Amino acid sequence: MRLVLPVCVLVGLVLGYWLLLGGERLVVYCAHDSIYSQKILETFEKRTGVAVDMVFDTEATKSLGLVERLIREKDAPRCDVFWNNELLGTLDLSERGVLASYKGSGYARIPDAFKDLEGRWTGFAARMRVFIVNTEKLLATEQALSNAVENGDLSRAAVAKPLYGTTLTHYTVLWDRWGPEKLKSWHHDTRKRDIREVTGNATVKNLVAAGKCDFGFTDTDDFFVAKDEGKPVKMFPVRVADGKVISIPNTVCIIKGTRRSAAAAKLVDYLLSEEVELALANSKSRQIPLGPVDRDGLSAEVRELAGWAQSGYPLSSLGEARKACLSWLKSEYLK
Amino acid sequence: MSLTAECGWTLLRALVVGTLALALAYPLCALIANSRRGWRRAAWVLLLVPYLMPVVLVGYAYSNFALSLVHHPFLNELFYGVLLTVKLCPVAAVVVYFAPSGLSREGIYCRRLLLAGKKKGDSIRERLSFFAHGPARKALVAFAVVFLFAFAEFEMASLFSTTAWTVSLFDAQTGGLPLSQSLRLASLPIACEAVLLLLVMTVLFAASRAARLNPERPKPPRPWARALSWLYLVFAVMLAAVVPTGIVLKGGVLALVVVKDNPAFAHDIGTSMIFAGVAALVAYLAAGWFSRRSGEGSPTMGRLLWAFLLSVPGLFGALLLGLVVLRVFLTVPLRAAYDTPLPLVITLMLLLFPFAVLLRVLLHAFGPGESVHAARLMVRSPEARIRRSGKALVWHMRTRARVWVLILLFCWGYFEVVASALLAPSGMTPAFVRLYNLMHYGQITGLSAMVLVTLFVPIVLLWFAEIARGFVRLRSYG
Repeated sequence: MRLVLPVCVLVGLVLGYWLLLGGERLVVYCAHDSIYSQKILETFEKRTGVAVDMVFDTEATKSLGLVERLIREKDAPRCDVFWNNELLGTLDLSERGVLASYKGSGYARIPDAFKDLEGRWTGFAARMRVFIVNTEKLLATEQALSNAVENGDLSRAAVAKPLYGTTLTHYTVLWDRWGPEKLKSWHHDTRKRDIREVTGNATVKNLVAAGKCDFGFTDTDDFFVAKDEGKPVKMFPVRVADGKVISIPNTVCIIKGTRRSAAAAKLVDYLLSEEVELALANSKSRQIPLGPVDRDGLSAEVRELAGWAQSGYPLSSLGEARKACLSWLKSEYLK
Repeated sequence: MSLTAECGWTLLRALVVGTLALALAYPLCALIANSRRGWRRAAWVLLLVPYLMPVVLVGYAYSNFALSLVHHPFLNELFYGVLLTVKLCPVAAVVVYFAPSGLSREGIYCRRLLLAGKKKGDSIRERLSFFAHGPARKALVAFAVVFLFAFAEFEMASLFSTTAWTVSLFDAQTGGLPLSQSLRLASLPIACEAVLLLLVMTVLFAASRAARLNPERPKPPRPWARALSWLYLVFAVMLAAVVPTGIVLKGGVLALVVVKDNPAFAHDIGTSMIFAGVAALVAYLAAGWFSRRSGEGSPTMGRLLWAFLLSVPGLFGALLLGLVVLRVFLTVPLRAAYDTPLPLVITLMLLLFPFAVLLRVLLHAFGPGESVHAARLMVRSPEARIRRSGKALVWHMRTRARVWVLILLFCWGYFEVVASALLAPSGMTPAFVRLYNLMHYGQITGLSAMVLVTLFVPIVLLWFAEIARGFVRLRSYG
């Protein structure tokens, strides 16, 4: 009994501490890599005085974890702003009525192709799906890569589990472009040919950079991490039919039912600003600005990516395809 | 591979790990029991260090190596299995060393006398009966505890990308698997764990009285067995502690500045300590309450039922328990408490509870009850010198062990990842959740620094606490 009182005091202190932390803090769920996004959110905090609580996702379940969490919390939202690192999950949230409309100054500067006309979500700073190739293991030409993908053994190629993140977007695009049967057949074929299925795009990058695999499917931001580390890697955009590339924007949205709508709007406008797009373009992840920016402020690499992204596959109509594709993938993996 | 198949594979691995750990535990116990004091202490330290190394750190340190085995999944599984055995062998050894055997030394002596009078010796049935009432009980408890740990292991399996039902279920759940389906898939592992725990409880309670009589001391090992045991201890420490720490240190010390520039991380560490501290204390007290309720009498069904029911939630494992708590706090009556520290505190407490019970039962079974009683009488003495001696004796014989139980519970809570990832309220993210998320990007210098700091902060604090305790003791002696 002597220890009951200290325990009560401790539990009380925890609750008190939490209450002290709470108040007007803005809760942000962020699927974008914390190593890039945290600094931007901290700058926002310093500049506006709005305190932000950041909740990040794991690499393995990238973005889908937070999307599912937001669906689960629909009736008792704890999140105010969702910074997704892709679009299709956000479309799902939008369809389920989880998102609130907001059209601010940031919304106005983003082209229509990358935003919801009702203002429930807005895209910014895109990445691309690319092949990462180890130049010491494979001839770094698109032809050699194409041969490696099309023919024979894939045991020295890597891909992330397609249930999550941008690999899910990649599959959804193929579902839409090829149709379900061709995608399923391709998927089973690559698995039969022993492709290495790993937990995330970062792991794909690590395997190729270390020479354990010759090439793999990843995103531009992961590729640049390997390149900056001086690894012998090169990238080529993944092209679906008609030479279209898969360019995946970040998206930001306000959660319906937020009690901090003014602060949430302030953050959304900040994230959609030219300043943030430039910051992300000039960060190690080299993201492609979608709104108008001073092109002199961009590196040659980002300018090249922006050129490729001009022929991006349209994603904003793929909500249904994503749903069907994800349902099939769940039946494949979660049994 | 389906989740059911993965569950089967994990079960098989846990059985192998449990058997190996048990096989290693007996010679190690013989070595410890028959070594001189200084050597015994060294052996204890070498034995326990691999277990006390946080799994997240070990998993992170070896993640690159595991990645390099991408074309050799069997070797990866083998390496993971070896590491798991090395990490869990201390648990088996501690249980074998401390758990009551079920037969007193006198009982064993009587059996020998009986056997000496017989011409034929024991029948097979009698031998089996003796084995079941004696050595098998202890072995079963040790095996069951190791099995439970191995079967529910998540962090290392996840960082090694090995096959494990925990990893798949965690990924599947965060990927949107409905809770009802998760629970259905988990029913088999839950049943296995529950049956084992019930057995452990039964054995421990049944043997608790016998433990008051001195348990049999293991026979001295032969010289070659002694040498091999020492060799194993050194190997285990190298594999599970020295090499991983070296790998993390190599990249980490150069980047401590990253931590300095990241004040939010200090907040995360503080959060981890608060959650772990509160949960450990509450679990410890609840386990104490349960022990007292159990009393000193012979085991009853009611008592076993209490132990079982109170331990079941923790046996669901962090993932399933976390999900159930999450769902409960999303229901209308409890929704107000959803985004507060309460769900996580409750979950951690429930997770720690079965282990708190086990440790307290072990303490109760092994503790020097009569001596503590004598020391307590000394504390009541009118003479100050005797009172001080009594207090010191009580500390050495009882309180110190309890403090170590609390520390162990604290460490389990501090290094927990899964429930924290699911239930931490916004603004209070425990440090290891953040680290675990980052670990999937691979080894980064800054991340290694963060891992080191997270690991050493509680150690340094415990060290300060020890100094403070010594200081208080000095003052009390005048």
